[in-house]
Amino acid sequence: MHRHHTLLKPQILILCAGLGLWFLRPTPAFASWVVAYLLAWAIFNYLPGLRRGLNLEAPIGWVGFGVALVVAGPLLALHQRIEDLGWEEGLLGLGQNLEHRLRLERLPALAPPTVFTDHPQALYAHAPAARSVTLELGAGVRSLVGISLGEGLFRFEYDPRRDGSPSGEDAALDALLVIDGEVHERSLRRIRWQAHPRWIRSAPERGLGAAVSEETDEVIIVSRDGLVRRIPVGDGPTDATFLGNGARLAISHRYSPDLWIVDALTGETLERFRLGPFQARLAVSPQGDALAIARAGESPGIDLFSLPELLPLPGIELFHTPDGLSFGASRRTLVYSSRSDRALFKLEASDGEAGSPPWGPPSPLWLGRPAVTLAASVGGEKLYVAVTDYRPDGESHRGNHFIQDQILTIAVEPWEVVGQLMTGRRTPAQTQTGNIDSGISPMGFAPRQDGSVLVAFAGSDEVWELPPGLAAPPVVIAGMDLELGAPHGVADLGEGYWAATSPGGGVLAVYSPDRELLHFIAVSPSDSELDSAPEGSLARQDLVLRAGELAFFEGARAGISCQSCHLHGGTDESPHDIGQTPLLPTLTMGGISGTSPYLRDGSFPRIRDLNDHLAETLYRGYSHESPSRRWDLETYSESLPFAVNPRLLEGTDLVKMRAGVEAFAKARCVFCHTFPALTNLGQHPVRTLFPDYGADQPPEAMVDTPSLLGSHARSHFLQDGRADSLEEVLGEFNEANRHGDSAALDSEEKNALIYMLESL
Amino acid sequence: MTPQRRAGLVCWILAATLATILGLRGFSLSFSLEREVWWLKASGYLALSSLFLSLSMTPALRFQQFLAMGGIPKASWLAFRRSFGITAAVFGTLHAALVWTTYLGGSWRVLFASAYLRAGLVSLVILLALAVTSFPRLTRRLRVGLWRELHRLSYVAALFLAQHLLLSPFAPKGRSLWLCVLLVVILSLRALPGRSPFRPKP
Repeated sequence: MHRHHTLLKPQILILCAGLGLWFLRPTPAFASWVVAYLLAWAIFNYLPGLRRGLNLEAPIGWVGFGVALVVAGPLLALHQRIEDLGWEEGLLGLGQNLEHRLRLERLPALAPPTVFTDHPQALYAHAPAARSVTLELGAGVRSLVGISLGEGLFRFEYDPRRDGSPSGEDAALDALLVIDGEVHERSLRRIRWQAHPRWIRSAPERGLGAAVSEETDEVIIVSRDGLVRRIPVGDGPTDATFLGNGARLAISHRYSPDLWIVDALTGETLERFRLGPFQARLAVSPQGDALAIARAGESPGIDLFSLPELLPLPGIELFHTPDGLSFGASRRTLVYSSRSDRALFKLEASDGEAGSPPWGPPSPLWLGRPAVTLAASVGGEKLYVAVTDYRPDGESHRGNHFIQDQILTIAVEPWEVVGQLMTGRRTPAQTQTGNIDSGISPMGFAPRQDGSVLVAFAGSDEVWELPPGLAAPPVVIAGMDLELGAPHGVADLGEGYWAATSPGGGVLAVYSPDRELLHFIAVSPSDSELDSAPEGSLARQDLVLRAGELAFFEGARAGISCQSCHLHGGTDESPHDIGQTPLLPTLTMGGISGTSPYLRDGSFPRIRDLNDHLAETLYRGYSHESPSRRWDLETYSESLPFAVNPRLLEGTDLVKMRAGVEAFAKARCVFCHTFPALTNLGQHPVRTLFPDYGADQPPEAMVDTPSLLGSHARSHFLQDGRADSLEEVLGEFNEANRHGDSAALDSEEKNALIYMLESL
Repeated sequence: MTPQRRAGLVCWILAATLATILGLRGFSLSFSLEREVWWLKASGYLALSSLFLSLSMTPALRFQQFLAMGGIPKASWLAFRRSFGITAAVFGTLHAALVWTTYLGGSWRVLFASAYLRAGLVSLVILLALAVTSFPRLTRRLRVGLWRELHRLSYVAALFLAQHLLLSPFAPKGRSLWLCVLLVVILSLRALPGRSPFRPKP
């Protein structure tokens, strides 16, 4: 008689009882719901008396009330565990992963999803069976003709200086892929960096400092009186140093092939020397009689000039890419750092015997971690080197997430470490045991005539003044006295004046001998100017990138920043214990856009989750709250570009590359390293791909399929970096022939494949 | 021939033919991993298709009733629903066995470590439970009284399959999303008015 007033009672009863059973042990997993439901079903199925005992014909109101009472607790428990449930079931970040995968699956596909307006880059399209492909990046950019590499893969070489920058102010860029005359619209993100005054050198005798902004192709000259001028230079200035008592400036470039000599005051270009692209840091000998230019690229080395006449001297070919560079006490001694070797190397001029090379073999000084930055004392006898750990045996530290910022003093002549200053310090700002709020991430040095040294700390927004011989505690300039976020460069302007740079903030500042801020020189728009721009504009994106960059360098309360391991946004090439075995070398962050999930096992679906899990939890959070930090960091991280492949500027053998693509397809690498991003963004059990190696790994160990774009910049391969070369990846580390069918390739095809991978 | 026998025969001939063709196609692939994954995909999609076909039968019957059309008798729809469901469980078992012996290398820990593998396993467990209780004699022996309440889990199995697809490394995501849309459409069609085939006899 109450049929129209009642619910489907058995079903409702089972659901409610299932929820109740789940509530007894509320495991955040869908499977536990099913188990609870089945248990409830079994109870009511096999105990019909119980079912009848409950008043099944009760009016709907009472049934509803009872149901509400029963389900309230479980639903509350579920609400509290919703994020855990997302993690457990792989649903957290699923949207982003699907978005990235759909973008790559939608043919014709384009990768990477970002276009940078400050440097040359390569983009790839996958358009099977296409004969001709062009890419239109909008008004202001000429059509880019795709170079066919075979198997439907096309490459576009885009240089904003040569081809033009997209017009308009929107961060979103509607690109058009024209495949055999048919137009396909694809959405890209445009990254335009604001001015980044980073490294700064000085001529104290003239009170001048010069900072380069690689992103905006300019050198910024400052004096004790403030800004002198901004000088437009070639593509990607990497360093600038004063010559001849500050009258001239030498400027090295990453992408332009020329070393520029510029009049420091007028900005007029005096000379250019063609050295080839990928020039890095500069060094002038203490006597001012030689200039050295570190050179990366396909043939790394050091170029030399005699001063003041600027006559080329015989250069030095190197086996490793030089990072930092300095002279010793004379032009006969050179020191350079190598990130991949995590060491310093000293070169000494030989005695000039007939037939002998002008420079002896490099003498290593193992550090265990790469030099973050280095600078020589004024006389060149000593070297100051910032590192995140010091291991004289060159081995990796086995401590979990181990970072111990320190400054090493190295005597160049005996070539040994003579001083070690731990910089990470506790302060009255400490809120719990062990917090470190000072001395995080030393980034720039300025040795002064009196033997004191200025040190910029990017992680704790400080500049320290280290007294000569460390005879007294350092003087710390921070907070409102400094007014710089993540300072990088610091320079002695003479007579006690000094300057510092903040690339993230886009500012330079000049300080008095009393350490008072004299001039605040903004070379990029202020936050409020950027904030006033429309939503979705480049300016608004710049604001987020700025916040993200500052957060990237900001030290967490454990004394660790993202930069600590991801050196300069890349990698410190060092194996770390990050809770997994074996130790894993740091991955570069360049080019990660559109490749969710992250980490070697793909365990983090989004960058923001890394911030939550690592920085905010393991590293104990930050000294100041920022609700947007996780988003800012994510946007910044996804805006870091791949390292530019030297072959993009120095030339690629297309015949060999096409043969490599053919071999890539023949070995079925495309099965997982799918075109055009060369990843399908999937994860696999390690044992499935590497049965021999995986036998020693936990069975549940997974490996994320990495993008092979940017492979040229890696010095170690496979998920734990166990392969030192691509030859090893295809050979001894693929004996089971499960990681691609490399057994199907002959040696010529393997060579072509390796060449192709190194050219991406 | 009873509708149940006819549906069973059609399903099994169809399934055996497709399985043979796809299995042989896998043998033509020389790279071991690709060959294994081909078989995994083939068996997985056959299981999925069978389940979706099974789930479609009731909405199709509703649709037929909604349009007040004659045509296929209700008993045939229900027989096909059962046969496709059993076929899904069989292909699911084959798929799981292949995954277990090839891709997972016989490791339980991998199986439970990955959300998409767990989802697939839960779906299979549900399908097997439903398959076992699809034989009236067995159902009587197992004293299954709340049959409908148990078999409504077929929709839950489909949802787990959707999760399995969306998270699995080799399933194209575009296709997976379309299959999810199809599932939603199938479930929505159940809302069509009509005599429920499940309605108990008075």
